[in-house]
Order: sequence, then structure tokens, then C-alpha cells
Amino acid sequence: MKTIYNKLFLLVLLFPFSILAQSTLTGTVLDKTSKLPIPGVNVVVEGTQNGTSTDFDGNFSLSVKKGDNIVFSYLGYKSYTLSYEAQKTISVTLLEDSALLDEVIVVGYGSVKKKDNTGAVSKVSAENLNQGTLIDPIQGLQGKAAGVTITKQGGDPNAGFNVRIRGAAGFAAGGGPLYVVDGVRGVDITAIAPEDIVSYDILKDAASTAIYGADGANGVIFITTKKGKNGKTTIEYNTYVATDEVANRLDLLSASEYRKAIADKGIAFTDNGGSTDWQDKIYRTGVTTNHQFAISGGNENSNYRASIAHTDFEGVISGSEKTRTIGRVNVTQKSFSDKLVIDMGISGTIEANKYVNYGGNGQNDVLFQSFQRVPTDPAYNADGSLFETNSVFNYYNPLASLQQIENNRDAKRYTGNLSLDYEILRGLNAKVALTYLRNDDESTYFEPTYSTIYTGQTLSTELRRGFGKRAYNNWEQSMLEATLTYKKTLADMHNLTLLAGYSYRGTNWDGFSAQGRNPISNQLGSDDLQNFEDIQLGDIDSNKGERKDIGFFGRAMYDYASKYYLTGMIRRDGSSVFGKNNQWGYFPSVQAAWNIANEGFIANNLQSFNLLKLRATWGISGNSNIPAGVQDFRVGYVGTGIDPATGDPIVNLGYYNNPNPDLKWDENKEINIGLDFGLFNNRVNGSVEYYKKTLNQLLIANKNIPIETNFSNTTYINGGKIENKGLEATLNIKFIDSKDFTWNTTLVYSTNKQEVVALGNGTYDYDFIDVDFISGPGLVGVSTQRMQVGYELGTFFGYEYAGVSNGKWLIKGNDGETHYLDDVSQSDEHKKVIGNALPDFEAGWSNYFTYKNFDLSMSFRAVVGHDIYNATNMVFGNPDHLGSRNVNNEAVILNGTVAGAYQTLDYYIEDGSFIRLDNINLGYSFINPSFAKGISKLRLYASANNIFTLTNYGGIDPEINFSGGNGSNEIYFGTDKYNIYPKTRTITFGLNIAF
Amino acid sequence: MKLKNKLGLLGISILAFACTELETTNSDYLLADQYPENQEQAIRVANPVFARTQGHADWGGWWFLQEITSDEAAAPTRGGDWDDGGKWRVLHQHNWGVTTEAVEQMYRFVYETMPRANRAIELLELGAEADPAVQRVLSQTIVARAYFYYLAIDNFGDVPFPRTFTGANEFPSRTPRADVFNAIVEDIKDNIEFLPTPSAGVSSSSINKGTAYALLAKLYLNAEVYTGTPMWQETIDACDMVMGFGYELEANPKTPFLSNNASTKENIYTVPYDEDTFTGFNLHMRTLNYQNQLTFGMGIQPWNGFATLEAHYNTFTANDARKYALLAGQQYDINGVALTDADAEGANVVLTPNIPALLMPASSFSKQEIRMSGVRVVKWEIPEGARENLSTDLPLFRLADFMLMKAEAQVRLNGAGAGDALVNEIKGRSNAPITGGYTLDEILAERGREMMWEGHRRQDLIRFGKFNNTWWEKTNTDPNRKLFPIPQFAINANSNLLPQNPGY
Repeated sequence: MKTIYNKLFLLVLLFPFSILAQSTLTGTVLDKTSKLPIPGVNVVVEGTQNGTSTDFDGNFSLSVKKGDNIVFSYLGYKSYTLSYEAQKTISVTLLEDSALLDEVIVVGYGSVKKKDNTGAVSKVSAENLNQGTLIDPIQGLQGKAAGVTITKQGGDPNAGFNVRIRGAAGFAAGGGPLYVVDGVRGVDITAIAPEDIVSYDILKDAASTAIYGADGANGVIFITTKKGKNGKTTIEYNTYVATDEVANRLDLLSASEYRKAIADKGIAFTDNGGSTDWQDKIYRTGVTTNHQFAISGGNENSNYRASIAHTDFEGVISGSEKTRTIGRVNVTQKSFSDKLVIDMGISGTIEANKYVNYGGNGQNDVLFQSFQRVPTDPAYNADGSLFETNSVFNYYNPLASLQQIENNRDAKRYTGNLSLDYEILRGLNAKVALTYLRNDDESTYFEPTYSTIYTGQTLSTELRRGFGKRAYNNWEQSMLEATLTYKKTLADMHNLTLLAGYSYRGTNWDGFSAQGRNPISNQLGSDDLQNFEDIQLGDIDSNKGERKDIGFFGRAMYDYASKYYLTGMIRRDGSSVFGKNNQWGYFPSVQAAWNIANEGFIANNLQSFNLLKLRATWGISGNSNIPAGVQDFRVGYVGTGIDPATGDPIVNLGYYNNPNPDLKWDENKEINIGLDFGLFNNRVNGSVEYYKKTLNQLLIANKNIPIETNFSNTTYINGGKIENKGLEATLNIKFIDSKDFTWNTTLVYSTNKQEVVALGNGTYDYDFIDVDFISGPGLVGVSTQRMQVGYELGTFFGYEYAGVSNGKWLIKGNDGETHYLDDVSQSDEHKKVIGNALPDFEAGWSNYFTYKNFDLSMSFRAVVGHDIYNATNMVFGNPDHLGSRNVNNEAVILNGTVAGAYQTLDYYIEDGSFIRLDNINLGYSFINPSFAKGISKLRLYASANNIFTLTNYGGIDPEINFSGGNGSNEIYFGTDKYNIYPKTRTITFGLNIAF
Repeated sequence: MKLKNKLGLLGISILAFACTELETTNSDYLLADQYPENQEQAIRVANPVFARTQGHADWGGWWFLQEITSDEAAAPTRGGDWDDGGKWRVLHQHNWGVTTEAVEQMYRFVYETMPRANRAIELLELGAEADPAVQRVLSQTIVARAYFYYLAIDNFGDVPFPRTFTGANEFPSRTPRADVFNAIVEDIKDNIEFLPTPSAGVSSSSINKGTAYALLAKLYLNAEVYTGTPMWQETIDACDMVMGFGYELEANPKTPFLSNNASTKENIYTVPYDEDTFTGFNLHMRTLNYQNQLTFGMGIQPWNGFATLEAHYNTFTANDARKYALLAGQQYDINGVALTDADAEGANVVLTPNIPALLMPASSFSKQEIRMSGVRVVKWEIPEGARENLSTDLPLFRLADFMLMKAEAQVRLNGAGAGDALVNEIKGRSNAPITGGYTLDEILAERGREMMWEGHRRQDLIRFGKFNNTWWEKTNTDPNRKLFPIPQFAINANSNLLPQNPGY
């Protein structure tokens, strides 16, 4: 307000000198619908510095002269321009702008209004995200944005989500999107508190992501975090407590069922007299608590927000835990008459993880050992020690691993960013942004020594000799980005925005680890590695490396009267990870759009259309997320050996990869056609997109090379080509919008078909690559999928089941004949396509209701039409194991007719389609409650996650990764392996308080 | 003006940062042209080649293909254990295919050695003339390569034969078996003079003149199989060269296999296994019964698998000293207490020579049959506290082998009885009955006892024409089985390897 008084004071001083030419106009600005005064409206004489703003009652006073154009503008309202005639007083009404159309979309190095957007972009704001307990912030986005597939196998609080946009895929390069948090690239998004997030903006087509050049091919997800607002200081406190239960257990035989099956089949068996539900023994109810505190405020020149969040997650497998503390401060400062805007942010995350081992089928893998453990085995001996028996190979009490093994990580994430944005001339801004990221990880692993005396024996048997390891890994990224932006409107019709920029990114990492076996003291464990007696060459390891990435970019955005849009951009990116012959690449794109609603023939005839915009884009972006150094012919540690002359152990140096100086980025060439629409004052709005994206020159860690002449079994080549075609639709409907009751609904739908077009680069050309190997008892690394030219990704490849005869599996061969599997299993001759793991479509349906002070939201998600290879059923449905390991009912059915399957058979393929109620959330808010003075808002809520799942799938959960892999470097998916951490059902009770 | 200054400043600062330099330093690796950095490293370039012998007992597939395919070893499926998709059964029943794991392992074992050897050879050649130490390592590397090519032609017949690294055709086709044979014989002969003279009981893992003649003897012995032309006299001459280097038969047949056997004068060429520093020798784990852990006071429980066939067990006479290697009957713990098996209703652990079937499902066989059938082989010492890997240096070439080889060649040249002296020496030290007038069949039987489980049986059976006989559950008599197929993965990567061996 002070400035307004200053201005008024100035005005008064100047008044005598201008009296001859000027007169004073006073007036009031009102909201057109509510007729309430609007304070703070800017009232400016066009083309001059002469202006004021309305006071609390909507009044203003301004010195004007005849013929002046007076512009009234206020955020959230449509601007209004008045030509001054000679009035003394006026009353102006402003029309509220449809919020959706004015919503700002982040497009990278700038932003546009949603109505002016020309690319394939999805925006999801905080109020529309999933609620309740979120392990990672990205979980909030699940099922909310068309074409963004977010999956997680199981419910491990220490495991991340798999995020894939439009089937982004890489063989050797990561398929995950680029995350940009408040302009900072490469942030570990798990280190962001979900409560701090304002919105997600997702760039999906290559034409949009081309501005990020060699890092844009997998799509870009912008995360905007909360900032302080002009006004009084706000204090918020949010808390919740949640319980996690195992949603569905693996259906294995109980002790009584097991005894019956053994008796029925007359199988050799030793009953150890117990009755144990081994899943009970390892599962628990996990309790999660969360506290978040934020303070924010500001004035016209600066604002700030500081928040701190602390969460304790308990996983449903005993011993798995995550504790996370996140602090974040955002500050914005304006100076030099608002010409310079300084943005600063700093955040730090400290996360402690306690892991349990469950990923494989070894001695210490808790899930496998408990699944296979016979239910008639007791958990403990009479003396309280763990019951162990050597009835069969690789058979251990899972409680030993659970109780004894220490597997911890301590992770720290730091982010600092500073940007200076200076308006050099009107419309011309220069910006320099500096960011620094640092990720530090420390891990401690310890398996103590462990011995037992088996029943009937007198001597102790050592089950584990003890092993310990400590590791440190540090990663840091420094980045400088400088941009020049020029905005100009010519003749009211031609809007032009130009951008030029430069980007430098330096990344460094190093790591260290040491390990040993045979600890003298289990108490000392890995806290004192000197207590290990068995240390070998190679037990101490370190690494260090760096990469550099440099980019130059430019973009021109033009529109004519918000009707015709044309945007072009180009980026030139170079990276040290590319081969010497291909260090730089160009990434161009073009976008065009036509807002038909602004044409007279629509605007005049079909007034219900607020927006009808047709868009078309073409662009190329790249993926440089590839391993550093693989283009070089490298020499280093290749293992230990023995000096044959002396017998002394030695370290061998050797060549460990085959060079490829032509190595380059993965390329995504994409065409996108889209239609945005808004109807009935935008109460119905949405978009439809069609895209065809060709992933070309995909980097393959090619193992299909002649080993006779190559050092390593892997040569990195740019040899994969995958074509994706997809359709996406988003529909938002504001069904009811009354004072007491509102109902909004959002539907998203997407399809994506992926076909392998080529495998090879001219030197190495292949028809197929076998992938997705499964192993376990009775299974020795058989592949379930074949990536084959002309076929879809995720194609299951194996034998066609044709029955059982003489205790042997029969299959139908490619010659049309029936064969014994045993007779043909040592070659691929009779394998065929037996299924596909790609869904036909994915859909999300979210509903948001408010009634008076109640709010309710509900989110459904469906994935339909994909096959799952149920390898869990293959392992635990193996009748051979009845009598030595636990099995499921399948084994009881098959027993006596056939031994276990050991090859990929379509017998084990199931339909994975499902519909899931992901989240339901009910809240009640007290506004300025009389029972608690000083509190402006108090909200109580209850929330549930993963409420129910409709599916015919017989395994634990149909949410197997159905796009991309489990890790970043895998391109296959859709196999249910028996080592998935169980999916959980979460109930949350929470409280939000604002002061 | 002021604004222009600011603009200029900004422009300069951007340009200052706007480097386009993408050079990075390779901190934790060297580039190929930076290596070797000095003479010491130059001599070591061949060590990764020599270290390849590590794969013999396990991951190289070699042992499985030489022994499980023969009449002296089997890997029965015991209930749910050792099914492994049938990969063991197909070996014994001669039904392996182009994707069988052990066949793939064997091919990798041989051919992943070749680029390492060829690269080492081309680097060593640069300094060989100037420095005898480099020349010695060069010759050892060439002989090591010849050894692996010997394994290649023995198992796969016509094979790809790259002999250079830089500039080599990346997609080689196959060279006839006889041509490879002739080339590697020449390689060995050309390099013998540069190799160290062996000193029995010293450095038997390092390639020397003894290794080279032993390898020549093996090649000549099987020359008829490889080339169609027998070379029995050459075999005798090469064996004589070997025997002339001072190797000695140990008094006790167990001595060459002790845990600390580096100084035995019987072993000519060994894999220097060590339980910590050179691992991979785990046959004891594969063969011993679960409870045998207590027999030997082992630190880890064995896997209860491989056994010898009853018929083979019965070829040993009662007093044969070599029967120390055969575990049969009641088993005891290290203190002499009889072992029982709680999982077989507390029954005594009695290992029976008879194995009821190669495939023993839990629904058709008793726990005793599943867990205790089959005589186990403990030829190599299992010291107290042994774990997954043994420290015995595994003999690949051993004097007794070459004595029997010479005897065999003598019989082939001069008829039954021509090799009696040597055979009797072998039999004598083990208290085996001495009869004399030994025929080829008797020599083969003696090789079965003396060389049991040492990885020679398949080659011997082929040379004696008995690999395609039937025994126990092995009924396939297809003569094509004398060669393994080129594995599918290698053909997928290089179609020049076609055509496949006949019968696959």
C-alpha cells in the first residue's frame, strides 16, 4: 500500500503542472458476476508509465487526457481497455477469466498460457493428485495423466516407481523421463515432500521436449514447488498416521492341506510337527507417521517459503523401514524497480533405509525362503533357537535373514539453485541460472556368522560364515544455464517470443567400498571392518568418473491474434559420453496450432466453444542417459588371478569392453496431432492426442556378438528401432458447480502399441534377442520373451501347451505335431509366440466432490488387455517339490500326472487386466473455527489407498511392470517372479492446519 | 549506454562460460593406447589368458561335458533337486542340444580366451626380440592358446580359428579340424625352445617344456580322431620327452590330489585352484551327501548330487588303493559317529552303489533312494573347514596319464602286452591285480580307474570307439554325438559358423 500512497503523492505533486492537459478520472472496478469491488486492479494508461491500482474498495483515481486508452488488468480476470472520452467517474466491471484457459504451462525455459500451448502437454495440479500416504511424490500422479504410465511392483517403501511416458524405452539407455524441479534438472524426485508440490507439467511429444535436446526423448516432467505469496505470514502444519496391511498373500498350502496332500499322494516326507504360516511370520502391519511444517509469507518485493517434513515409513515385511526428513526453502526477491528478479532455493533430504533381502532365491532372500518353507516345519526349536533342517538344497529359515542381517543405507540429497532474471529492455530478459546437486549414499551390509546343530547330529553346521561390506557413493552435478528472452506484440495481433540459450552441465561421481568375510565378532559387524579375517584382492574397490554436457538452443513462438500459432526450436547438444565421431547432435522441432474457436464462424455460431484448437507437431529429441566410457577401449581391473610361476594371487588388468567411437544418443522422432477443446465456459474441457513416435538408433548393450574375436561379450551399438503409436484422451467435466456442492470428474485414456522394427546397425543385424530370463528351483535361466523384428515389445515366446502324457509335458510344435517337451527342449525349434505383455489400454477416472465443508475424492485406474507370465506359479506349482518345499494348489492338481515345468509354457500365461480403486479420500474443513482461535483452516481427513482390485489374475497382484523394466536398463516386462514385495492396502488419518 | 554495458557484460560472461569443450579425464580406467605402460605390465598382459584355466572344474562346462557324458559319472535328479530343467540328464543320455547350458559354457570357455590370447600375443611380439623374458611369456601364451584350440577341436570339430586380434575378421568361419590340428602342432613346436625347462614339483601351473610336450602327446594320441591319420609313434616320442623331465609317480595314489599338492612331482600341468584367491573347484560340493559335511568337518553344506555309476564302481577290486576316492556305505562324522538323516525319518546315511534311476521323483522313490543312492567321489582332498571351493591344484596333465598313453600307443603299434611295464607300474602302486598281456580294453579300463573323474573319459571313450555304446540309462547310440554342436548363441551372432555339426 505504501507504494500506492507514494504514487498518489507524486501524482498530487505533479498535478499542478499537468492540469492544463490532463483531467482526473475516478472510478470503481467491480466483478462482473458478483458485483463486488476488486482491490488491487492495475489501471494504466496504455503505452505510458502512468498508472495506479484500485484500493480496498475497488476505487481508483488517475490523471488522464482525452483519447488515452486506459487498461484495467488483474490476475484471473480478462483485461479491459477503455478509451477515455471526458467522463469524470466511471464504473468498470471485469469478467473473470476461465481459470483453465489462463492456467500457465511450463514448457522449459519459459511458460505459456494453456490456451496458447501448441505441444502435447499434461498438467496436473496438487488438488487433483492422489491423496493419503505417498511413498514417493510421483505416486500422486498415478492414473492422472494420459500417456504417463506409473507402476510399482509391490509395496516396498524403499523401492521406487517406474515412470514411462508414451512407452519410452531404451535397451541400454534409461527409459525414465527427465525431471526438472523449479528449473533444476536431474533432481532425485523421491527427495521432494509431496506436500511441497504445486503442480506437475508433463511434456510428452518430441517437439516439446526438443528444447531439452539429447535429454528429452523420454519426456520431461516439471515439478513446481510452493512459494510464498504476497500477504500475511501463513503457517501450516500437516500430519498423518497410516497403517499398511498386506493386500493379498500368495496362496500356498497350509500345514493341514500339506499333510493331506502328502498323505493322498503317498510322497516320501518327514513331518517336523509344526504348523506355521510362514507369510505370517514375516509380515506385519506397517505404521507410517508424517509431520510437515511450513511457513511462508512475503510482500511486493520478496517472498519466501520454508518447509520441513519428516516421515517414518514401516514396510509390511518386518524390518523394512524408511525414515525421511526433507527441508526446503524458496526465496524470491525483486529489485531495481522489479527489473531484476532473484530466485533462490535450497533443499536437503536425509533418508535412512533399512532393507530386507528379498530380490532373489538365495539363502538370505526372505520372500523366497518363506514361500518355499514347508508349513509343517516349526519356526523355532524348543530351546528358542531357530529351527533349521537340511532336508533339501538351499532351504533356510527365513527368520534367520530377517532377524540377523543388517542392510542399511543412509542417503543425502542436496539441491541449491540461484537464478537472476534481468529485464534489459522492455520485453527483453536475460537470465542466468546456477544449480548444484549432490547425492551422497552410504551403505552398510552385514551377515553375521550363523551355525546350527541339525536334529540327530552332534556337530554344529555352519550355515553362514559372515560377510560385511561398507560402501560410499557420491554424485554431484553443477550446471549453468543462460537465456535471453524477447517478447514483443506488434499491431496487437502478432505475438512473438524469442529465446536463445546456453547450457553447461558437469557431472562427477566417485565411490568406495570395502568388504570382508569371517568376522571375529558379530557384535562389531560391519561397523568395524578390521574385525574381518578373510580379506582378498579385489575386496577394496573405488571408482571415479565424470561427464560433461553442453547445449545451445533457440526457440521462436509466434501467434497471430491467438488464432494461428507457429513455434520452432532447435537445440545442439554435445556430450562426453558419445563416441568421438558423434559428439554433437541437432534436435529440431516445429509446432503449429489453429484455435478454431477464435474464428468468426465458430465464435458467432457455436458460442458454447471457448476453445477448439487443433495442433500438429514434429520433432526430434534424444536420450543421452547412457553409461559413460563405453565408447572407449578401456583397460582396468578384470579380476584376480594367480601368478602361474609363483602361485601368488595377483590382480589382472585387462580390456573390459569393445570400443565404439560412433556411439551416440537414442533418438525419438515423433509426430503428434492434438485437439484441445473447452465448452460451456470450460465446464467441459479436454484434449485428444495421436502420436507416432519412432525410437531410432537405440543404444543396445549388444551381447549378440562373435565372442571369438571380441574382448567383452558386450559391444554398445546404436541398433534398435521401435515404433510406438498411441492415442490419448483427457476429459474434465465440472458436472455440478453450485455454492454448496461441486462435482468434477476427470477421465484419462491411453493406448500405446510398440513394435520392434529393427535390431542391428548394419554390422550386427539380428532377427531377435531373447530376454527376461527366469530362474529358481527347477528353472535355469529360461527366457520368457523374445524381442523380435516385426513383433510387439513384450512378446512372450515359448512352447504351446498340449497336455500331459506319461508324466511328461506335451507341446504343440511349429510342425503342427505334438511332441514331448523333453524331446525338444534343448533347442528353440518349436518355440512360438504365446502372448503379449503390452496392455491394450490404460485408463484413469478421478472424481472430486465438495459438499459444504466436506471434500471427497476417488481415483480408479484400469489396465486392460495384457498378459502376465506367472513364473511364481511355475515355481510353486511344481509337483516335484511336494514333500520338500511348500507349493500351491496347482502342484496338488498336477501331481501324479507330470513333473514341474522347466521351460516357458503358455500354460502359465494369464490375463493381467485389472481395475483398481487406487485412492479414496474424505475430508472435513473448519474455516476460522470458533473452538480454536488463530487457526484459519483446520481439515481432518481419512484416506485409503489400494482399496480393491478387480482382476482374473491368479497371482498376488496384476500390477507387474507393464512398460519398461524393473530397472532403468531393461526393456522387457510382464513376468510375475516370485520375489515381489507384497502390495499393501493403506489407511491414513490426517490433519491439516493453517494459521 | 548503461543498459548496453550491462548487456555487454552479460554477453561476455555467457561467452566465458560457453565453452564447448567435452574432454573428460579417464580416472578409473586406462585407454587401450595407454596400456601397457611399462615392461612389467607388458609381461603381465598374458596373465588374464593363463587365468582362463580357472573354468575347467565348473563354469567352463569342460568337466561336465567330459565326465557326465561318460560311463563313470552321472548327475541324477533327486526329488526336486538336480532337475534344473533336465540339463544334467541330457548330458548323460546324450540328448544335449544347441541351447544346453554346458555346451554353451564350454564354447565360451574356449573362445572368450581367444581375443585375450591374440591381443596379448600381438603386444608381446613387439618386445620379444629385444627381451628374452618377453619372448618366454610370448611362447607360453602361444602354447596356452594352442591348449584351448586343442579343447576346441576335441569338443567341436571344425572350429573358427582366429589367430590375430587387430584387423582380424570379426565374423570368422570354421576351419577344418585337421588344419587347426596341424597349425597348433606347429605353434607348439616353434615355441618349445623358448619355454622354461620344467623342474618337477615347481610351478606346475606355469607353461613350460613339459606342458608343451604333454600337449603334443595328447594331440598325437588323438590324431586319428582329429585328422584320420594315427600318430602313435609320435605319441610315444612325445610321452618320452615328458617322462624325461624328471616327473615321478608318487608312492601313494592320493598324494597328487592333496590340498597342498603344489610340490608333487607327479603333476605336469595344473589349475592353481585356491579356496580364496582362485576359486571354482567345487566338485566336492556337487557330489557329497548333505550329511557328509560332518564327515569332513566342512564349513558349508554340500549339495548331494553327482555320483559314479554302479558298473564303474565295480571295476575296482577290493584292495585298490584308489578306492579312497569312493564314498560308499555307512557315513560317519569326523569323530566317527554314524550319521543319520533326520529328513529321511532318521535313517542311517548309507550310500549305495546302485542308483535306482536317473530321474527320481519324490512321488515314486523313497527318501533314502533319493538322498543316499550313488557312490560319491572324493578324489581331491577335502580338508577340515573346507568350503565351497577346494585348494587342490587340479591336475590337467599328470605323469600317470602319460605312462598309460604311451602304453596304449605301444599296444596299438605292437599288440597286446606291449605296454605292460608302464601299466604294471600304475597298477602296482595301487595294489591292483597284475596280470600282464594288457589289451586295449584293459588299458581303457585302467584309465577309467586311474584317471577317474579327471576330465579325460569322454575323449578316451571316443578314441576307443566306445562313446556310442549303451550303458545304464544311456541308450542313444548316435555317432554324431562325438561332437558337440556349435551353440545357438554363437550362430545367432555369426552365421558364418554355419553349417552346424551333423545331427543337430
